[in-house]
Amino acid sequence: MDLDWTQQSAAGVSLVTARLRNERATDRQVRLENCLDGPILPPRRNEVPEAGWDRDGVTTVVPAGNSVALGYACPAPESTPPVAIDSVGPAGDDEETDAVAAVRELGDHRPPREVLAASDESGELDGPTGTEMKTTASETDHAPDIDDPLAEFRTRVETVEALRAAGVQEATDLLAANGGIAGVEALASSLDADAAQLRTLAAAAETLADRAEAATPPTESLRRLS
Amino acid sequence: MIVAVAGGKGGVGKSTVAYNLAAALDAVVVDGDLGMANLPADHGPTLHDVLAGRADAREALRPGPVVVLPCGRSLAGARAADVSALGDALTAVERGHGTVVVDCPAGLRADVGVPLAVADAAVLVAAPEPFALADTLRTRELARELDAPLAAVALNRVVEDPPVPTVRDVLGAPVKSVPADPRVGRSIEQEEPVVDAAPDSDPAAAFAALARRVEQAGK
Repeated sequence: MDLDWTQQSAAGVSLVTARLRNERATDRQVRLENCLDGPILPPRRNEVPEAGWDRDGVTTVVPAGNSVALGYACPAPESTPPVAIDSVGPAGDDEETDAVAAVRELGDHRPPREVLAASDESGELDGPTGTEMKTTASETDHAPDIDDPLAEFRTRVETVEALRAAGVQEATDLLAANGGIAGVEALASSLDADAAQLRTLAAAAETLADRAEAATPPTESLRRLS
Repeated sequence: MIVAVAGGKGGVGKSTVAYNLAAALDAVVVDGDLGMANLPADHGPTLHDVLAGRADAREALRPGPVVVLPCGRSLAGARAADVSALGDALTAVERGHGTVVVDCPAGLRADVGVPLAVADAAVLVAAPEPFALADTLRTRELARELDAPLAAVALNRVVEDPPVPTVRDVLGAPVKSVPADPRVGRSIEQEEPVVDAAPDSDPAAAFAALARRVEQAGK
């Protein structure tokens, strides 16, 4: 078995070609091993590697008195030799599974990625996205955060607490961030409203919790009905 | 035994034949139509999850008059599904339940090829119209290439005098006619296979005969 090879490097990837010649009168199975310092990127069809290829090399059959040409890419620098014959033996049966061959031969069943992107966008219209939630948390005048219904109140209280605890420099920054002295005055008046609203909410939640504890579905009689 | 129910054209009744044949064989029916599922499903894991490595095939089985391995209905699921894993999934179900009937999609893509490649027997579904026969012939060629023995041809929704000898000569396999019957059409939706719902009817006899033929071919 004769082996000729060439190699060529571009953008950190080496392209290796190999030519195998079988001078014997019988078909021979050859195992070629990659000698470069990286995995093989084998030729693929429909995302399935061609028959015989794996990470480290390729197994192929060279017909009697004939030659076979192969090539692959490897994300590694050139070195000599890039490829070597590992073993030569009589041509045996193909071990490949039918399912893999069927996928390679028949082509992809999957819907194209473009269709998927379109359906994802329409899906996003159904509910608020993560980025939208972030903006509501930072802009206190907007609707409350869906995940934390108390976030809006919490932000206001924390701002006022921070103003009380802050030094001159931090207080100036906070004043600027909250719309000057007028903004802080508005914040103070809205805090009273917040407190009232929070107490109403707490009372309503308490009542609802009591009712939830007291209520039991008439499972027994419903079971007799069904 | 793994039985692939295929046929080139859509709308000839592959899913209906697969569902009722599975009932007659006391088998699990697998909805292999990864893009456009037909068989009943609920909220559990589906074949999409199995082929994406998120669930075991046996976990996804859905009990009922006929045990179904349903398929998801989302495009994202179809895209994430690795059809080359279908062979292992079908073998796992076969080990647990004995006989598996796969409802293949229309066309000649890999999602038809893989079930045919792993099947022990193939049943082709054809409508008694010349144009449908041409597509069935292509699927027969595919089955032959992938070494799936053709057990029978189901001539579906037959109204009068089906061209049985012609179909048999063209496709080279025994032909079983399934008479047109609204109970067959409703069987998937209502989950009432015709062999259970109307055991004495002509369609039930046709599916029983088809099942016997498949069993013989599998031996």
